[in-house]
Amino acid sequence: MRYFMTGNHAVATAVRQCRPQVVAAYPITPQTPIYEKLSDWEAEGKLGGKMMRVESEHSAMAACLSASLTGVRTFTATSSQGLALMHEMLHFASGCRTAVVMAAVNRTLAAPWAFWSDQTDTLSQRDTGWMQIYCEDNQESADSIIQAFKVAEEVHLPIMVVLEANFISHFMEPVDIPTQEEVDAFLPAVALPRRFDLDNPGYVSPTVTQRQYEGYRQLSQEAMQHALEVIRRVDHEFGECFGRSYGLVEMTGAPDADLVLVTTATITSTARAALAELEQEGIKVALCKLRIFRPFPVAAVRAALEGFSRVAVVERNISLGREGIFCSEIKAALVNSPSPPKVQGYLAGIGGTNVDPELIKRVVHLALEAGEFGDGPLWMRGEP
Amino acid sequence: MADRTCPPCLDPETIIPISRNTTAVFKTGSWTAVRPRFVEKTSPCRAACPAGNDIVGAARAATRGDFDAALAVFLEESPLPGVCGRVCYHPCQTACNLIGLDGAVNVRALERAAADHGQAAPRLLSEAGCDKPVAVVGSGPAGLTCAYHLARLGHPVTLMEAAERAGGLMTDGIPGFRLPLAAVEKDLQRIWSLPVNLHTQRFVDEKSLAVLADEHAAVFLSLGADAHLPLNVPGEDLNGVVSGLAFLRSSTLRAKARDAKVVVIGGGNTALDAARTALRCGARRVQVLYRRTQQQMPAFEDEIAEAGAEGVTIEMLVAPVAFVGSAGRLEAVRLIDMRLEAPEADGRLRPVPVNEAPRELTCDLAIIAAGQAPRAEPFLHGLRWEKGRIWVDGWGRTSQPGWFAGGDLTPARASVVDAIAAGKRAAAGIHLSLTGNQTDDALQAVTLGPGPAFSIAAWVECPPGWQPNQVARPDPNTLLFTPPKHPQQLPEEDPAVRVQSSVEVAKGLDPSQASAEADRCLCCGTCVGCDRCLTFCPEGVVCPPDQAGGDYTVRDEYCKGCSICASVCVRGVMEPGGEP
Repeated sequence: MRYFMTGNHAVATAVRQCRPQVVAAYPITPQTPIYEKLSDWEAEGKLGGKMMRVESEHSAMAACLSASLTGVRTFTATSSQGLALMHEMLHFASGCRTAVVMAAVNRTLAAPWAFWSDQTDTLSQRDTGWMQIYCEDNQESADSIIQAFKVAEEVHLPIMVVLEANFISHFMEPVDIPTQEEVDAFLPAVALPRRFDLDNPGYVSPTVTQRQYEGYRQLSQEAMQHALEVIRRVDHEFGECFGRSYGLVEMTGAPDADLVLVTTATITSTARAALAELEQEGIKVALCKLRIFRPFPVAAVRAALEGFSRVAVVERNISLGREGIFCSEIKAALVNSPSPPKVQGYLAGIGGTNVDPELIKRVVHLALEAGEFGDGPLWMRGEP
Repeated sequence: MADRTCPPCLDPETIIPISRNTTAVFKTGSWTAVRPRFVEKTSPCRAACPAGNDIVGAARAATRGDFDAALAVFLEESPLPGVCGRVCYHPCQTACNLIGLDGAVNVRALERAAADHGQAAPRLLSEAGCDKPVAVVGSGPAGLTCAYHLARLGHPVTLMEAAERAGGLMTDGIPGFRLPLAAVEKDLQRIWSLPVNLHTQRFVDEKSLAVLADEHAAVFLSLGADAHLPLNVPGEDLNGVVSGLAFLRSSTLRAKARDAKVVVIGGGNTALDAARTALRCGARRVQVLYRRTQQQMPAFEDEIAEAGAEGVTIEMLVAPVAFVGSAGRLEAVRLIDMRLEAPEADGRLRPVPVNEAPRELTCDLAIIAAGQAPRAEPFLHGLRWEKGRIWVDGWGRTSQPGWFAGGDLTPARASVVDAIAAGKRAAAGIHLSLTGNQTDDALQAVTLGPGPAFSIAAWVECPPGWQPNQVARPDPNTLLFTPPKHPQQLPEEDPAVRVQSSVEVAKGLDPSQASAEADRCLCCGTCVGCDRCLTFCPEGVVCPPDQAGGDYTVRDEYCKGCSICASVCVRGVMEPGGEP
């Protein structure tokens, strides 16, 4: 059934339908409505699981990962500063191979203080061992939550479902909400190992030798690589159940286009509109939506982009001192290709500025008209 | 999922870092400068107890409500728990680690409860037996204790007593309202179950003593000190001037107190016992006259308080210079005021007369209880004397080989428990001299704290691990955070009622009260298996005792030496330890 709702509300609904047993979170804009909605439902007796009041996001993650180790389904949500504060515990959550699911609502990181969409907060957590899904709209955010539980609990790695401040979190869109029975049919009951045993006490995260540490890291890396196939399969199963699937990357447009635009998240929707207009003008530009960032779908990206001569990456984040983070990753994925395309990064929407179709068209024209691509990013300053 | 093969990278048993024992590979023990250790020690109360009673052991049994076991624990070190449970000046309670918190455990009341509510027989220390007959002369607490332990060690004892019944001052010196005869008798009955052959109404003289010495391998002299020390002032021979001990012993003399104005000279327990007895005999007024102040009175504090509650008045800083009367009959005591000057050689403040004219205090009966001395029996002349008492060494040996002595005959403090201590040490001394295969070192090893009290049970049995010489002192901060358990109130007979009869003043605790009081004991020095060391160890390297019991152990290879285990140990058993 379709409802008109915000992305936060859609996410909260999906979370409830997944029957989490422990939700520990701390309010922070723009994530707070997720937390509030879940709290309302808990108060009304509709949540099923328990909400834990914690004193910080660091504690929230500590609670979630510990709960996950007891074998229960856990969820949290945060943004920006809260995610940064969680950073240490994110490593523990993945290092202990928990299946915590998080809704991470992108928001600018201070300083200076702001509340707008910017992906640098979640991308800063790239190396914490968490899987990351970047969502284009409200529907995909809700659907990805349901997929995330299934993936995380199979590969024993935590996962972030990333949605953008305001453009998803607070904007209302029609969202198809499945019935509880449909979700129950798709998502099996939790079957995580119970690592805490009163009769056989254990010491979680003990000190290990160099070789043991190396071994754990390698196992986690192998699990990440394995997860790509699990994510693909779960997305496929989801499509069979609900009629919607998203892929690791989504490729649209003609294979003989002069340019491929690579986007993530909400910029993708805008790009779809802009490219449709450009097509009317006779300009053929393909679109590659990168959805899964960790594990990085190297093969899928390469399969999508190989054969094109030019790639333009448009993104709402920056690794200061280098360029947009997706752009670096795209370049790295292509470097061993026999004839890699040229790649240019464009910074658009940093700090939550608006990325409208006109800006996308300017990127396309710049990319097509450039004699050579540069190594650094180009700033496409938008309007507020 | 079940039908899918699980790759190693998803196998919960291998991917999740969790240790079921310790930090395993991280041998942090190399960092430490100290090694916490589990060392069971002596409780401060036990170290302070001249008899060396295992107070913690008895308290633990009493907490369970097992007064038979509690009594058996007391009987390991002393034959007279029923007596000490009533009249001991309880130095144990002055040493309790709960002082300054919720107050010392009432150990004396516990000992009395064990004796009153429990049944137990003395245990034979069979392994030490050597079957050498020993004669004990005098059946006061020193003689009885010496006989008791010697008999437990296997030596048959001949016990000679001049009076009609055994017990010495316990039966004819301490009045029944403090120490009922039945309580003494109960303690004595247990002693008679041992090979102790009691002969009453047997005065010993030079000749009979020589026979005793001939027939026995050793002789222990505990004749006490019941010779009256006169004040050496005019009028002491007047009718109406009596000695404290004679007054307590003689019903004829006690009858003189009826309707009388009584003064008692002295500040010891005998003086107060006489004063309180006089009240019970119907005295019109009883005044205790003491030449120093209450702080210097040798009498026990609780007896001073009880006497005060009953109406005995105590006049301080006065001394009699004469008793005056007419027709040979006492009419008044002539007093001078005193003041205290710098201490004498014995450390006590010296009373000196204030230079004023004496005043007179009318009285019908004057009881002089200013101390007693041993009788200068001719048969004791051959032994070395010192300051009016028979000299003995630390093991009760006199100057003559084979002759031992203890109690008030020797310079020990004049109290039941100190007499018990002297008898016990002499028993060990006699056993040592008769067996010749034990050394002082073995006794030193079972000396409780700094001594001189020792454990005769441990001497025979050498329990492993226990360090008797060390006194448990738990971390005071940890004790501050120990939930208080408030002391049981010890019931007492109403003063207005008790002075009308010879009823026992202090009432004992009933079994449930005694268990509650025993439960207050911290069990200093004795592990009770509370697991605090194990629970608080941040490294998880304190290991519990195995099924068979034993000690908590610390895994040295991982212990960083933080000593939290020691600081949280309420009993002071876990200790920071020294260099690894």
